[in-house]
Amino acid sequence: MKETLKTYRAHVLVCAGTACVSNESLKIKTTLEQEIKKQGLENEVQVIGTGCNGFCERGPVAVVQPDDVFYQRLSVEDIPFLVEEHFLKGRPVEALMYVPEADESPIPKMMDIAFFKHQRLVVLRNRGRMDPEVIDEYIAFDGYQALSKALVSMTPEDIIGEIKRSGLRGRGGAGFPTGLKWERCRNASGDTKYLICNADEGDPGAYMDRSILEADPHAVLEGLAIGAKAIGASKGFIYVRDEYPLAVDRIKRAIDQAVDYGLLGENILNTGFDFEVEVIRGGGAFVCGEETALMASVEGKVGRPRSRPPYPAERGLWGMPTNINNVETWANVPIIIQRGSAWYSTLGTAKSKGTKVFSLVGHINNSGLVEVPMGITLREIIYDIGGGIPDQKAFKAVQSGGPSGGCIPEELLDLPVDFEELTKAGAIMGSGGLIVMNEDTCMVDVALYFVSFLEEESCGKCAPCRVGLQRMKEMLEAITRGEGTEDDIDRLEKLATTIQEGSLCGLGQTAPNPVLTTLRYFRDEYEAHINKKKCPAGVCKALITYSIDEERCTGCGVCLRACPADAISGEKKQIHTIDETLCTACGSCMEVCKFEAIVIN
Amino acid sequence: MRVTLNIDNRIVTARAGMTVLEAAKKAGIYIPTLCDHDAVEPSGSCRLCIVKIKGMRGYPTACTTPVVDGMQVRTNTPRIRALRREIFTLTLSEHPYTCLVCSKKMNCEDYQGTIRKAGVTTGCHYCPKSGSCELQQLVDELGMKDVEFPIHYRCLPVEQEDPFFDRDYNLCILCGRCVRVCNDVRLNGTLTFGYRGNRTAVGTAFGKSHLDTGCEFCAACVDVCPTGALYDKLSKWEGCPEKSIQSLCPYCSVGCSLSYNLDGTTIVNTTPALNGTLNRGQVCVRGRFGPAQMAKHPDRLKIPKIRDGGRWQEATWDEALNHAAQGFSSFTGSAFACIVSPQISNEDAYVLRHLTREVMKSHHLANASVFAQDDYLEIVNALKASGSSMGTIEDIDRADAVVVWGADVSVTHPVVSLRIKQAAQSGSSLVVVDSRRTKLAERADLYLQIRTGMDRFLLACLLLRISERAGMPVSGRDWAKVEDALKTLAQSTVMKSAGISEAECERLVSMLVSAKRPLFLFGSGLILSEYTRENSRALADLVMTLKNGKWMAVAGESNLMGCLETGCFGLRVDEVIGGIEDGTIRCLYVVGDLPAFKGLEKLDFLVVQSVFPPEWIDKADVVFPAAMMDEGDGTMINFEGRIQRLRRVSRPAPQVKPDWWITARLASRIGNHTVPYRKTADIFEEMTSELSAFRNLALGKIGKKGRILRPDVKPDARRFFPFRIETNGEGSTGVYAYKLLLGWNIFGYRYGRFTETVPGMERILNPQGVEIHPEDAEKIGIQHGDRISLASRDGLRLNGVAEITDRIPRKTLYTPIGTNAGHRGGLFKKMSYSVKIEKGVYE
Repeated sequence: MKETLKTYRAHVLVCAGTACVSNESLKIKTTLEQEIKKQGLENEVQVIGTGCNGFCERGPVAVVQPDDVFYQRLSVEDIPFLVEEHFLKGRPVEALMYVPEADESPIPKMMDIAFFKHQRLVVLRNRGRMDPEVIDEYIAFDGYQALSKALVSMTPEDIIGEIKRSGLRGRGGAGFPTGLKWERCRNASGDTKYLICNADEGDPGAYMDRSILEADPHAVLEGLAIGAKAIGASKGFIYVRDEYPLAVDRIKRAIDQAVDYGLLGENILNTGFDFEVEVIRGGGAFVCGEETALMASVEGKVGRPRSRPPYPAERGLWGMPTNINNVETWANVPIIIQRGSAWYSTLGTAKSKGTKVFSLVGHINNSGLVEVPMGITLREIIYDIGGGIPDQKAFKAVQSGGPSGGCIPEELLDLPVDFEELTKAGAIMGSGGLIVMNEDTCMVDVALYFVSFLEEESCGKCAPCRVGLQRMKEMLEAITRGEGTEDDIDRLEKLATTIQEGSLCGLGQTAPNPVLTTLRYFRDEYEAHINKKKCPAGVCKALITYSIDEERCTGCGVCLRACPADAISGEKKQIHTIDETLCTACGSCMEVCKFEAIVIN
Repeated sequence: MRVTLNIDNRIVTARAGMTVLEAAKKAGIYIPTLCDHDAVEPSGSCRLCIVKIKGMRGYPTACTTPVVDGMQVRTNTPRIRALRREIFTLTLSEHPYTCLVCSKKMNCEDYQGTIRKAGVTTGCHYCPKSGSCELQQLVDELGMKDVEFPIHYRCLPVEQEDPFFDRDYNLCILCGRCVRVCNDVRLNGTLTFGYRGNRTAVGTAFGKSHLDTGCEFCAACVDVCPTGALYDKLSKWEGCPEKSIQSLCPYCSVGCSLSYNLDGTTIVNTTPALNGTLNRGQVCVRGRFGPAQMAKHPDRLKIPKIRDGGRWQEATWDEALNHAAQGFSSFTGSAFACIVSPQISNEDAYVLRHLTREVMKSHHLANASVFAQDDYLEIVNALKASGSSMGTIEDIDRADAVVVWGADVSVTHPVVSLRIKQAAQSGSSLVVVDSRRTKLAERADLYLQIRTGMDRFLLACLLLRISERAGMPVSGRDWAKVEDALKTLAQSTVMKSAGISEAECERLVSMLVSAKRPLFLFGSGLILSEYTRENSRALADLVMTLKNGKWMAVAGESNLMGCLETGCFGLRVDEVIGGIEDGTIRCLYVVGDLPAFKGLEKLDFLVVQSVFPPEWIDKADVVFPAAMMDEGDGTMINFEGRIQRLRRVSRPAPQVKPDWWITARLASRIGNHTVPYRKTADIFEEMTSELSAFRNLALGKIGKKGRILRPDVKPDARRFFPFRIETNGEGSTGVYAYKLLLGWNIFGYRYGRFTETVPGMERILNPQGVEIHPEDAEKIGIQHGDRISLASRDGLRLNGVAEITDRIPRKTLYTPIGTNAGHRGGLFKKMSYSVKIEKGVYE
């Protein structure tokens, strides 16, 4: 074992997750290394690129350990000063620390920051603390202990029993008990069995799985290998989106290292157990996250789902029993085996054990990746961890579960987050996307957005989903144009039920959720569009007009120059006017006006 | 194992593995469905067969859910009915449905507008499927009155450029039957789903034309389409058939079962009979599109004619028969000759043989088959006599190694090729040995591109190696002689000249040695060779050496086997032509088709009896209009030796008569006796007593699957045939440096008449095409599409169009026979010639 075991005075953990990398964190890392060398500190301070730290809103970020100092929104120019101050002179740089919106004093330590304080890291325990590209670091943090325990001292039945007792449920959406799924596949007849890790994360704005693969690829591999022993599989596939180049790179690197170390491949840990893992890159079709479509895609066919039964546990890849779990589920496995089901089941609620990783995005101050225990309320996630809504706007809704999830209103913010409660509210856990929306959001427009996404991503196989979503989109478009009729709400509800009950796979069966939940909680907005031909949030272009507040207009002419339709006229220093017949309601004037003189009617 | 389930409060028993839909159907419980079809695996995409099953979430589809003992199923609750209607409404909303749900549709027939023969379909009455559309049936069954959504018309261009079928995907409801049948049953992969979401559409890869994707035009997709999206363009506007009659396809020597779909007495189209033993509900482009076009072609001969001083005169049958009988009577003995096409029934053939041999007392009876019959018999007799087993089509399914040698089955017998592909798909190994890389070779586990005419050397090498490897000494009559000859074989030299590597040979040896049930299929490449005798003996010895080895000769046109069994063969056609040229033959009776040849004008009396007028008709004295095989009844024998019954499916024009009817009347007039047969059964009866192969047969016992005729002579148990294996200066030199391979193909039926008659055939296979290797083309300076001419030292001349391809090896050319108009100058004696190649055309 090499440098990893050398002792350093301090470690700088630079986030090398996709978001920070796209903000030049790798350049920051190199600059850090150069500066540290320049100061002659290379034997005292080590720089490590880690997986996603989670606080993406504040990227690029770096944490100095063991001091636990959190630096954020770094740039290459900040580095020479930072190195000199912090490492040479021992003075942490306040100017680069996190300052919460509300008060002005910076918070130096990471664990004092609300975003981190309220999280509970189980799956993401290694994020931001180790280099995911070095297997020795994973091993140093107890990695592969669970595998050796499973291979050496546990029978397949022991492993399955342990997973069953832990109460772990699939993190991919439906929340099926993982132990039960494994047991079915184990009991299915067949000599060849396969495992699949579903890393085809297609929800817009969600990046839990990508982040896990980037931050802790070995945890996923270890989980797969334990599952392989339990189920009796000798081959596993990781199906990952091609749009995740960093995740693909890291997982492939991890596989090579694990094979080198005898932790994957033939005769693992000299126990006679063989298991190999192959990475398959998906083409980015949303439907390929559905397990049967995913399997078709792995087989090299067009990614379209098929009816179940037979379930993959009986007839999966190439007709062989196959067990498929998503990235987060697999990443939960090693720690359950290592620390035991008794410990794991203390986390979470009665029926939903453990933690859940959410990507918190939208109109929220601290957007990022968070891991929380099941049962936490939405309010805690949004306000305590997320820091609330920016610009003093009011909260309107949170969409949970990706495009086919549901929109949850303010009155349900104290809902404890677990599989059952979210379903009751008309939403789903999904793979863990949370999109927060403020008062400026039109809920009909939101429903239209998600339905359009799903309509395009429907595989087109079954009529209710393919045609139903087209018709649904057309109806929503008509409503946002002010062409809705009184019976449209009833027709939408009827169509939604047809799609839900009639569709072949989960995509279609959940696709109407955005429409159904917005109809349930925000019906008045639909009614306003249909009956009053008004968009209360001022979003739907056909239903709004812009005008100029004479009191506020200074006649500066900025709006006139910004208008692409030449709809604004007025002499300099005179009050300007908008010609409604020419206005396309694009909102450019509103954006540029410094005096808030443009108003929506 | 049987399971019991409860469907709609009825106790239903089913076989384990059945789906709920199958179990319900068997019990007579109706569940509507669109995407399900007997020919393909279920997909559950139309969602109409949704049911409620106790203990299962939501509404599973009956077509995909396997039955489980004790299952409780509801198929017809109010909610299911409503949901079905709502789903079907959505399906209809992307199909031009106006007429489907129009309240006045019943009255519409009376006011129906003129049928537009335009591509775009806008409503039922402009759709060729109206009347047989499954959407129309479902609208009635589900009681649809209205569709609440505006129609979504996809505005896709109608695809009419390919031959045989049109595609209007605006009518497509994306049930996927066509995609499944093309990929899963035909293993062709022409059709697929493209795009996603609302743009989802059936089509070809990259939107290529069907011609460019390697589509076989089998029309399996057309036959499963529930709407008018895929439509047979030849019968598009012929209306709905009223009834179907099942008979055989006469267009190759498989004898597939076809449904002849009739409107009155007109054949609208033909589709594969679903219960056909040999073709199992599949058929090729010939059987699917040929019969209807051939039957109704305007060029057909319809009335007997007599030539009177250079002018044709229509005649009554009496006049024409008397005139011909009188003419024939002056030429009894060896001045008379008869040339017969193999497209006739056993009964026709038997009567013709009788006329020639017994009445006219001539031995000049020639069969116009491409297969020079003595070569064919040489190989088949050697195999039969060796004591090895003759295989059947069903043996393809059972074999664990299939070796296809010198047979382009995907062109000659597509249904056999399909069977082989299916066997390979389910795990048996496929080996192809051919000088030309055939379509089947592309799917083979092992393909050996052997040099033309070198087959016997590879056979000998295999025989030697397998006999050494068998583990126990080979025994059998004359084995020692064979072994002595094999010992002289310079293996590395002959393999090199055959173009086969040591590794390839060894791989084939180990595949054959380890196979439990190897099956050899061979065709024209071995039979019509300069070395037929050696090939046949080496093959017979090889099959004998293998454990459980079986063989099958996939060869012969339509009923060639029947002609052979009834004795309707003898001379080769070129021998008859020679006799005419030297004046020994002065009277000729041609039954079927024959290309023009030099010397016809020398004949004193010429009678032609055919379906279509030959191009040399003006040299004839009498013309008899003959019926086609499917217009008469009788029996035929396929290449396996299976006798099957033909049923008369349609009546030709009143004055058109079956061959036996005409020939028997001629014989009676010449021989001055009454006609002994009233129907084909009378002839069959006589054949059973006169012909050894037919002994113990009775018409009633032939049955739906037919009967394999086995030789009643016991073959010598384990007999080997010594054969010559020395080389005799292979490789042509000088100006005739190219080896021309003639391809026997499905489109050469009746000397190309078929290809000319059925619209679109010539587009599948360029009749003029001559394949040439890219390197050779470059050397000679030939571009793709250039006109070229070929000549052999022994007088073959033909013109063609260069098709540059690496399917064939260097120094080799390939052209299909029969269809190439340039071939029409003469008949071939063999299937390969040494030729020279020149740019330009021979006059």
